[in-house]
Amino acid sequence: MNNVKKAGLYIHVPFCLKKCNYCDFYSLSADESLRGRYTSALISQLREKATLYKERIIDTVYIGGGTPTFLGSGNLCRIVNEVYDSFNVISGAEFTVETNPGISSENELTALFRAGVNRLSIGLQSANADELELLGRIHTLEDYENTLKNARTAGFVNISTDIMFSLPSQGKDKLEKTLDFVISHAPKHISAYSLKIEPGTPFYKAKDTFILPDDDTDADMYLLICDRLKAAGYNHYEISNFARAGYESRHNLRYWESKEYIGFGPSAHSYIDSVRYAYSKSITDFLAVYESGSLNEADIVCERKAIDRSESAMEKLMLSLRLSSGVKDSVLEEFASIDVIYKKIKPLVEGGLINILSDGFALTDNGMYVSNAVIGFISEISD
Amino acid sequence: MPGNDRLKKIRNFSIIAHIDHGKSTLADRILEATQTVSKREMEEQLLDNMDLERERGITIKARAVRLVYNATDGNEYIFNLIDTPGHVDFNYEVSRSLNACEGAILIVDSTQGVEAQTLANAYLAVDNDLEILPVINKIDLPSADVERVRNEIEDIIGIPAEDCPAVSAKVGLNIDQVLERIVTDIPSPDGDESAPLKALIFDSYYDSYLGVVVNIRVIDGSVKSGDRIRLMSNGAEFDIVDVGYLDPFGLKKTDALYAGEVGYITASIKNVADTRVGDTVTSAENPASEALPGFKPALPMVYAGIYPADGAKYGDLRDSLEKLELNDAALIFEPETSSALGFGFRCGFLGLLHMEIIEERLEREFNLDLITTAPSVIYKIRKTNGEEISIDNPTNFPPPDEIDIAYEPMVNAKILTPPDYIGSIMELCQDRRGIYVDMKYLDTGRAELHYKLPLNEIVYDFFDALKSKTKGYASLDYEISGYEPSKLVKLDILLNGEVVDALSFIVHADKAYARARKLVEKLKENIPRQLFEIPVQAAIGSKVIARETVKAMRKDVLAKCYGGDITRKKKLLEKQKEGKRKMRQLGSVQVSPEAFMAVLKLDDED
Repeated sequence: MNNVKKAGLYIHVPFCLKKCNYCDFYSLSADESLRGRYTSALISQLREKATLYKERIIDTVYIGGGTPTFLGSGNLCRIVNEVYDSFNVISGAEFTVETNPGISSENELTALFRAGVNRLSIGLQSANADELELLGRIHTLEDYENTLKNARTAGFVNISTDIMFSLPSQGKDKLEKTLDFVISHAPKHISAYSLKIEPGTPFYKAKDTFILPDDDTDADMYLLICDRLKAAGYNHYEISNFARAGYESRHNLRYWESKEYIGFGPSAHSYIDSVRYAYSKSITDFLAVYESGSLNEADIVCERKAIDRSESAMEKLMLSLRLSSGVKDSVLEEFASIDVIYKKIKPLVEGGLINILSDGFALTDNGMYVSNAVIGFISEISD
Repeated sequence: MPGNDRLKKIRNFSIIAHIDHGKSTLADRILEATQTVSKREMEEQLLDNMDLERERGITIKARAVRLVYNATDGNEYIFNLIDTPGHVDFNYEVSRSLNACEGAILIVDSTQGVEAQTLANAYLAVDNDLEILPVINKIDLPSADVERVRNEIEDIIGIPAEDCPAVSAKVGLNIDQVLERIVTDIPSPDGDESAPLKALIFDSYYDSYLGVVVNIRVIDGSVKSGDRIRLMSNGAEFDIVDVGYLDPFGLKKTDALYAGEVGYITASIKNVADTRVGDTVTSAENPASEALPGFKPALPMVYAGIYPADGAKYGDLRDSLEKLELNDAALIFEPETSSALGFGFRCGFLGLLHMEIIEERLEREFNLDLITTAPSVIYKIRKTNGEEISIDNPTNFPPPDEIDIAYEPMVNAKILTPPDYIGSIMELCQDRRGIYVDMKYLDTGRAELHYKLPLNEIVYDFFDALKSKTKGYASLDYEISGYEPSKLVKLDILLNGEVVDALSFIVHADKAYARARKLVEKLKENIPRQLFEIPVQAAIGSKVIARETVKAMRKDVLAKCYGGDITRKKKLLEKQKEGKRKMRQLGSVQVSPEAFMAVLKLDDED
């Protein structure tokens, strides 16, 4: 089995019922017909790619967006079936679909579960009605509770929930309320992201009217989340991710462990055979390749880059330091001799930013929140 | 032409003015009106060659240009227009340029009236026995008040102005009157053509083909190519290659220059420092018995360390300074090393403007990014062991227990201001340790304050403070008056417990605390938060007098690394790395050149 190469699949669905005010992912509105055409184009792409990667064992699949469930369970099940039919998906593989509260009925969720989806990621973001409105979310807390109940009835156990913090005018009390709410509903996995205002979003235009928490408050909120979730039995296994033991996102871990994955759909990223590439953010071009055939795949590939040894080491450093498992000495050796590195990081250890492990080191909660600076610091160490 | 007739047709004159009163524009109009240069051929402000001069509207180096004027009396006159630098930093150059003339056109802005440098320059001209021809300029402006300015010239400067020309150099109005008055009012030169050569150097510059081009006014005798000359201050001898004069189109060779004439000589001279302004050129075979009076070598008054922002550019900085030095005998520099800033140069300047000009030329003409330390004056110290030393770099300031007496340079400052601002100027001078000398009202709209001030307060931020307190109406002129005992201390800045040598400075003890507070606060604002907490301290000797803390960074993270898109994160880290490359490592603390400059920029408002 050791010689058998594994890979994950990422499938992007660039549609939403309504785009949120902060969102800069590639996502559009779409009518019934476009959703159907897109599903068919994706299926063509899956089929075509599967012939190239026949020998790969697929152990994680992730359908993200956008709101994938906005396609409807009929379209979505066609995609799920195609994945199982065309690829060599290992038994027990993790198969995630993202959704938002109130999008799918119990029947639809049941259909997905039966088709082979076994993990559901639900975007809640906040348990405060005013914050949901500000963010441009179109669901209520009841919608979340119903979706959660329906998913569990349908058979889903491995359920994740996304929340956001550092929202405009957010105080500690509102964040606590969101945390209390999420913890009381006991999803197996929780992702917590601080709001980042991205150019091109409605939030970017409105940013001057917001009172945003400063870096210290933001960091305090982050530590509060870490503390509360750990106390509630979640492992803080990545900067922004928390899970009950055994429920870490195996697909996302592929990204952070520099393992291979193949992307499908516009804006999807791939890392396969030591090459990184992405597809352009254009559904029109995507359909031109996989519907009409008027373009070739090569026409929609962008950011293509072969990753050499030194770049790979840099990637491993920056990605593995996202994880509580940390960076291995074997990776650090690519930068400088181990003795020198451990001598240089001593003040960071004393400053409570780094935890020394048996075969490497990891960032503490405090350290994770300044990980860019720490990574910069370590990558500059030389003999 | 017999000597006497020849001399009668020559007029040597300068134009002097307060900054911005229109000196260069009038020079341009005179050039046009004498048809030495047509409007089409003319570049605005032809006499000012350097970009920087044109932009700032000031003349840094003197120039002399020969013009031909057909007067209404039917005769052809030779005008030698000698331009002078227009700033207090270059007072000595101004006085030497004036020495080469018999007269000066004194321009006064009809909207501004007499200003500090109008007076200072007028006095310089009087000291040099020059005939002064006042010209009132900018009469095209709606706020022009010619009669008031006439009265000011008569009352304040004390020269008749009832019939002086009122012109607009900008639109070319009444320039003909000025030309005629040059002929009638300014005396022709005299001088003995047969006496041994005596010529005054009033300017020199380096030309990469000709070597040093020396501008001279021949006082006695004559000089021609092939002559062997001697510079009387240092005895250096050279063989003349060319003699000639400058017209607006360039250098024109001529056979010889005679007493009363203005022109240039070249003699394969390599270094402008050999041809100091004010020195006397004589003949090596038949030398004059004594030099012209008034020569003094230019002495730097202000010192600062100049470092390349990118340490790798040290060699470029050295080459650039060497090139500037070829043309600027007043600039001096020597290598210095700072543990904070690496390799750089300790540079001496005539004053703050001179320093700014050098900085700008280095950055603009040589494309260098610089870090300049706070300007320092020269302190004198008598040590307890009796030794006397001069300090131009705070690093060399002895420890307190080795100092017997410290002295600092003082200036006599003249401030001209509308009376409304007298109160706030007095407050400012008081605050800058000024000693009040006297005050007089020049007329109802203008007062002149005299203060004795420490030069180090002037180089700190006096100009800016004066300007902001008087909405730009007050003007300042000063001259060095000597050294006086003073309670001086050296203030050190420590980051993370280590002294940053480039930030040390010398300050009066009474000012140390306030200055220290301000500086540590500024550092706290400007040092980016880092992975560690950084104590920022100011200390005199081992005694810490001010302290702040730069808190450790709390957030620097790309929280979402999602959907497998890691290029974004990589780009972020690369950008961060690029930014770090320029950082200065001070022990365990990284400081950007921008932060350094922000701290060193002394623009605080109190």
